[in-house]
Amino acid sequence: MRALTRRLMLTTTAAGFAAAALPVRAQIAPDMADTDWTSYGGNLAYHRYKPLDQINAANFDKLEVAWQFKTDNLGGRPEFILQGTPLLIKGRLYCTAGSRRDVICIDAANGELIWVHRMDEGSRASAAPRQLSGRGVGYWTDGTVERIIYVTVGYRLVSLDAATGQVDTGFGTDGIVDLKLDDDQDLDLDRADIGLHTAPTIAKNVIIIGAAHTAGNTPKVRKNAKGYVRGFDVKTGKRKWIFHTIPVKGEFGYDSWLKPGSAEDAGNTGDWAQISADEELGLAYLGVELPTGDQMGIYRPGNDLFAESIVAVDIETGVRKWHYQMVHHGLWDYDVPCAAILCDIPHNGRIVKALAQPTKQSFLYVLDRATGKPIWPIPEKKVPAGDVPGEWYSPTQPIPSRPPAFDRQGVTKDDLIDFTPELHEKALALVSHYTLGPVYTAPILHKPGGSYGVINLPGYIGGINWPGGSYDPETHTIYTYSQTNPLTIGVIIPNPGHKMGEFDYVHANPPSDEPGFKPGDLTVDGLPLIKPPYGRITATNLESGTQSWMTAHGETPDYIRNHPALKGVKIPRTGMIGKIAPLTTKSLVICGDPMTYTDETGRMGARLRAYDKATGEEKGAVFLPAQQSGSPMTYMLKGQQYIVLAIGGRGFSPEFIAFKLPGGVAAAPRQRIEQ
Amino acid sequence: MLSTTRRSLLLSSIAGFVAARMPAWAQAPKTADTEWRNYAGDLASTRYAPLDQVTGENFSKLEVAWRFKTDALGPRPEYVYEGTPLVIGGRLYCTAGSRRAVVCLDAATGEMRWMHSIDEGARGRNAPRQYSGHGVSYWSDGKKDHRIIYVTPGYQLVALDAITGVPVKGFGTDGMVDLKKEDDQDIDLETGEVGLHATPVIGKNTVVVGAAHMGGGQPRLRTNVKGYVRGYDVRTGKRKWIFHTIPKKGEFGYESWIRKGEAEQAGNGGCWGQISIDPELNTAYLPIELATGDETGIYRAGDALFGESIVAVDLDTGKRKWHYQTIHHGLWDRDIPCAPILCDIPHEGRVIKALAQPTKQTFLYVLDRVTGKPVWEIPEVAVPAGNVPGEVYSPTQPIPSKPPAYGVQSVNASTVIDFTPELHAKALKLISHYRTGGVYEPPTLATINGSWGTLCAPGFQGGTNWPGGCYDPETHKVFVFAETTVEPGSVVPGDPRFTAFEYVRGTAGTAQSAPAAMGAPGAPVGTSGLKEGAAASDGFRPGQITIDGLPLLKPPYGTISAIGLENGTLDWQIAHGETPDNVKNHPALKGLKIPRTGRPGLLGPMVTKTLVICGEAGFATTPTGVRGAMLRGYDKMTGEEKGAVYIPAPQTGSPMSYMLGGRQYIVLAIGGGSYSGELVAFRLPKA
Repeated sequence: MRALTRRLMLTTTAAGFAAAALPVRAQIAPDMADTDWTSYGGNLAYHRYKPLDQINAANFDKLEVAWQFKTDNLGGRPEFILQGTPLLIKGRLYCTAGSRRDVICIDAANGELIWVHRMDEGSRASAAPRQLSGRGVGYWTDGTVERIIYVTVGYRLVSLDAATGQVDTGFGTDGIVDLKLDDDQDLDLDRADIGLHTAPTIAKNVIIIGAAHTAGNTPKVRKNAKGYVRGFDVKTGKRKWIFHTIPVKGEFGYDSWLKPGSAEDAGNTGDWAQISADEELGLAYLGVELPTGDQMGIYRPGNDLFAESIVAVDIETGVRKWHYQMVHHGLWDYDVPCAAILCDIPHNGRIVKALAQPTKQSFLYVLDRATGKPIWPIPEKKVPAGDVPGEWYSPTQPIPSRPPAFDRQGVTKDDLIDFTPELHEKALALVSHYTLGPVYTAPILHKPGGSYGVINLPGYIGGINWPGGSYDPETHTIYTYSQTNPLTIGVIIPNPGHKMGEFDYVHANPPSDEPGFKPGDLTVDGLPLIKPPYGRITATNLESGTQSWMTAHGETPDYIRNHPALKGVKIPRTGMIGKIAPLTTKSLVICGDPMTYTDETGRMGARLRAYDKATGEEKGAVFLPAQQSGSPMTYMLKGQQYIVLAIGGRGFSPEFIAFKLPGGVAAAPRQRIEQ
Repeated sequence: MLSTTRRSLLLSSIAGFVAARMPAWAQAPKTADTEWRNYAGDLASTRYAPLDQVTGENFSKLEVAWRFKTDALGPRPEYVYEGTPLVIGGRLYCTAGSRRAVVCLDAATGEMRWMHSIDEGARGRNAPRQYSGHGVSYWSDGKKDHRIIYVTPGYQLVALDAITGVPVKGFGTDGMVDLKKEDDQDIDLETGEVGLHATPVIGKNTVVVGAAHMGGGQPRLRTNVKGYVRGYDVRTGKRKWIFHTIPKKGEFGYESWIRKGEAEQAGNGGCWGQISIDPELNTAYLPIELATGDETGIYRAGDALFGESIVAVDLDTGKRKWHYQTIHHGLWDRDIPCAPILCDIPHEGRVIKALAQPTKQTFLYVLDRVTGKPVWEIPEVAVPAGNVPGEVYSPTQPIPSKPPAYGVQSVNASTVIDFTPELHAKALKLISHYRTGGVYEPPTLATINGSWGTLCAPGFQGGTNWPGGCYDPETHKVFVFAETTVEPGSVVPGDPRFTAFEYVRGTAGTAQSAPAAMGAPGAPVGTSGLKEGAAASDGFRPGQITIDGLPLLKPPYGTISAIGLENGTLDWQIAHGETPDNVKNHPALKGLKIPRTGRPGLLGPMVTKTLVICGEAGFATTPTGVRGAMLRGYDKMTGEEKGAVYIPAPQTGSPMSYMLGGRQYIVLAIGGGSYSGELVAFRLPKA
C-alpha cells in the first residue's frame, strides 16, 4: 500500500512536470475550464452574463438537446409556468420546480436528479399569494459547508445541505425560519397575504428576503400585510435587521405619507423583485412596489415612500443609505419588477459605480449606486392630474433624459394598427371609446356615456417584468426584452357596497353601454390595437446613454400570420409579447421566444434565438418544444458549454432543457463523488 | 364545540345504524383504502387484490390518473422498467431509473415525495444486474419505525426511513450493508460479479437476500462468485444466516457433486427469482438457479444441488427444511426464474398448504410446502443423452403428472409453422438441420457442416420468466403468462479469449464475443442473443429460428393460462396480445384468416375479484391506429376478454392495484423501443 502510494505520488509529480512543460495550446484552455452560476442573475450584480464562446454565431444552429428535465411529478399537479433559473455549483444545478416548489439538485451534464427536497405546507400553501415553483434558490458557502436557501410557497425560509438536500438543523428551527414571524407586524400564519416568488439574495453572510402579495388592482382589504424586507444570518437564520418599506413613525420617509394614519393602514409595498447587492460597497439594492391599491392612491396621498423606489440599504444592518423614487404616488402599477443591474461604466473620464434599473414603464434609470444620484439628469416634468374623487396627484414625475425609453410609451392615433386601411379605421373607432395620452396619463373615473379609460402603454405588466435584463461588462451594454402591450389600466369605477373589496373606488372595466363593445378588449378583429413590434430586444449602451440596436424578438404569431384580413399583406416579423429575459455571452445575446407558433414544417413550437451582441443580427435559432418561461443561463462543464432554460406553457408541461454542441466529452457517463 | 361533537356523535351512530341495515354491496368496506405491501402483493406472491370497482363492464373506461417518468433518475433514461411498486398508507414506493433510485410517490397523484439514489461509481458500472431492478421491500415495527429496504446495483442492502427517504442510521453502517462482504467467500468490492434484480424479501424481522450474476451461456470463468442466500436482521442489518446454494463439504447435497473439487470451483447457483415466505411456517422458499454453465454442465457433474431446486429454509436460521430439484443436472438454463406461489388448496378432502412454481419449461410444480412432496405425482421419466464430451447426463427428469404443461415443449412437424404448405415445408427443412425432440432433449454439439445442435422449446428464456404468475385464492387458480419460443441448444468449443469453458453455448461457425451485463447498454434483449451464422447451401443459417421472418413455431406466441389447483387442470388458455404487425402484414399470409396470435415477451398478470389483468408485450398498431400496446382485462373464470385500454408502450413491470380515497387504481411500469420507462396509473372516471 505504501509503495503504491509512493508510486502514485511519483506519477503525479511526473505528470505535473509534463503539464508544465507542454505548450500552452495542449493544456486545458482557460475558456474550457468549468464555470459556475452562483446566483439567480449569474452574479449579485445581475448581469446574466458569461464570457463563454464555445457556442457562437457559427455553430448556434447546431445546438443539440443534451437533456430535458420534466417537473410534472413535483407537486400534486403539473404547473405550466416554470420560471426558475437554476444555479450551477461544481457540476450540479439547483433550482425550485413543480407546483409545490420543491428544490431539486440535478447533474448538470445529464439532467439526473440527485436529490429532491419537498415540504408539504397544507392550507398555508394553498392560501399563499405566490404559489407554484418560484424563481429559484440562493447559494452560500464558507468554503466548507454549502447551503441551498429558498423560500417556500407558504413564506418560510429554508436552508438545505447542498450535498444531500437535507435541512440544516442548525438554521432556524430544524432548518426553517418562519417568515411570518418576527416581521414587526402580526401575520396570520395560515392566511396572511404574504409570500415570495423570487430567489433569495445572499451577500456577506446575510440572506436578504423581500415580500410579495396578491396583485393589488382590486384590493380586497385596505389594511393588508406590509411587505418589509429583512436580513437573516445565513448560518443561524437569526434576523439581523428589518427595513420598513412603509416607514413607521419617526423614520425617514414617514412624512411623505400626507394623511395621518395612512402609513399605518397601508399594506403591500413589498419587494418582489430580485435584489442585487454590491459586497464591496456593502449595499443591497431593493426594488420596492406600490402600497395597497395599484391604480388608485385614494388612501395614500403623498409620495408614499418607499413606493416604486430603489432603496440602497447596508447589507449588514439594513440601514438606508439612499433611495430614488422613480414614480411619485404611482397609479399605474409600475412596481419595480426586477433586479437593478450593477455596472461599472466609463462616464466623463472616470469609472462610475452605477446601477441600471429596467422598469415596466420602459425607462432605464441609471444611477450612481454609491450615492443614488442620476448619471444623466432626470428632471421632474409636469404631468396632468386625473379626476378620481379623493385621489391625490403628483404634479410631476421624473423623466430620464438618457437613455431613451427602450420601448414605446403612450398611444397616439399614429400608433394604431395600419396593416390595412380597414383595420386602421376599426382601430380609430375602437379608441374613440377611450382616452389616449402619453406615459403617466392618470387613470380617470368612468362615467356613464364617458370614456372607458386611458389606454396605457406600457400596460401594467410592462414593458419589462420580473425577468429583468442582462448586461455585457465588456461593452457596457444593457440588453432588455420588452413587450409593447397597451392595457386599459387607466379606468376607475365606484365600488358601492364594497362588493369588490374594501376600496370605495377600484380599477375594473366598467359595464358596456353599447351592444357589441367590450370594455378592456383592445383587439381589432382579434389583432393587436397598435403597430408592431410587439416584443423586442433593445441594446442600450451605457457609455453614451444611447440605443445601439433594437430588433423584434419572436416570430410573427400564428393568429396574426393566418389572419384572413391580412391575406397578401407583407408583414415584417412582429415579435411576440411575453415575460422573458435574455442571456449575454462573449459574442451573443440569447433568448427564447415567449410564445409558440407553427413553423414552415407545420411543427408547433418556439425558438431559442441568438443575436450578434454588437449588431442585433440574428445568427441562429434552435427549436424549443415550448416557449421560454424562465431565463436562460450557461456554463462550461468538462469542456462543453451548456445553455439551460425553463420552458413550458399551455399543453406542454414545464421542463428544464439543456443544449450543447454535438459530441464532446460530456456524452460519456458522468462521475459523481461516491456516497 | 361540545354540542358539535355531540351532534357528530349522534350522526355517526345513525350512520352506523343505517349501514348495518343496508345490503352488503352498499356498505363502505369495499371502498376502504387497501395496500400492496410486497412486490407480488403479499409474501405468498399471489399478486391478487380482492377489489372490484374496476370490472369487466367498465374496464375499457379506465383513464390515466397520473404518469411518472423515470428519465431523470440516473445518468440516462431506462427503457425496460421492470418494477412493481408497493403502496402503503397512500404512498407508493419503487425503484426506478438507470441508477436504481428509490422513489416515494403520492399514490393518488404521482407526486414525488422523496427520492433516494446512490452513485456507486465503478462498482455500479461493473454490476451484473444494472438498471432499476424490480422494486423494494417494506417493514414496520407496527409503531413509528417504517422502513423501505432495497438492494443497489452494486449489491448493497440499504434501509431507508419510509417517511423521509433518509438512510436508517442504526442499520448496517449509516443505513447500508455491503452484501459483497460476509458472504463466506472473497468478493472484489468493485468487480466481483454478483448483484440482484429481485427485491429483498422480508418475513417477520428477517430480510432475505438472494444473488444474481451475468447470464451463463458462455461463462467467462469456471470459478465465478457463488450466489449464496442470506438472512439479515431487519433492525440492525446484522447477518443472521447464510444458505450455501452450492453446499460446502460436509453439508447436505455436497455429495450430489460427483466430481471432486467441482462444488468448490463452481460459481453462480444464485437465487435471482423472487423469494416467497410463509411466516406461519417460518419458512422462506428459495428458487435456485444453475451453477456456472447454463447449457453446459461439464464442470458440475451430478445433480449438483441446489441447481434448479426450490429450497425451503427456516426464516430465522437459514437451515434447509426440504428441497425439490425440478431438473437434474440442468442443461437448458431453466433456473427458477420467479417466485413460488404459496397457496392453500383443497385436495382430497382437506386443505393442503401448497406451493405452485411456474417455470421456464412451462411445468407448474405443485408441492406440499410443509414437506416438499408433490401434491400430484411427479415421476422420474427417462430422457435422452447428448454428445458433449465431458458431460454426464441425468438419465431421468421429473415430469409432473398434473397439471399439464402450459406451453409448447417440443419441436416437431406438428408444432412448427403451418400457415401455408410452403412455410411448413421450409420449417421442416430448417429443423432437419437440428436434433429435435421433447422438453429435455439436451443441447448437442454443433458444426457448420453437420448437425447444428438441438432445437429446444421453450427457448432458454421460457416459457415463464421473472415476472411469474398470480393466484386467485377464491377459485384456487394460478394465472400465468408464457411465451412460445424455440432456441438452438448448440454447443461449440469455447474461445479461450472469452471463456474458461472447453465447451460453451454458441452458433456453429460463428465467432464468440464477450458477454455484457444484463441491462447494460449493448446487452442482448429478447432471446439469448446469439448471432446467426453463415447461410448453408439451402439458404438457412445456424441460429436462425424464423421462416421468412415469421416465428418458427405455430402461434399462439404468448398465452395466459388458468390452471385450477383443485384438480390440477388447465381450465382455460388464451392468446395474449394482438397479432404483431409483422405477422398481420406479412405478404405470405395475405388473404389468410389468422386468429389473434398473442405476442411473446416477459409478462406477469395480476388478478382481482373478477379479472385477470395484463398488459401486452411489444408494440403494435392499436385499434385507433396509434402505435402502442393495450392493457387487457379478462374474465378470470373464462378467459374471455372484457375490456382493454391503450398504453403508449408495452408492459415491462407487472401491474398492481389498490383502493385509495374510494377509487381503485391499477399501476404498471411500461416502456420499450424509444419510449423511456414510466409508471402509469389508471382509474375510472369520477362518477
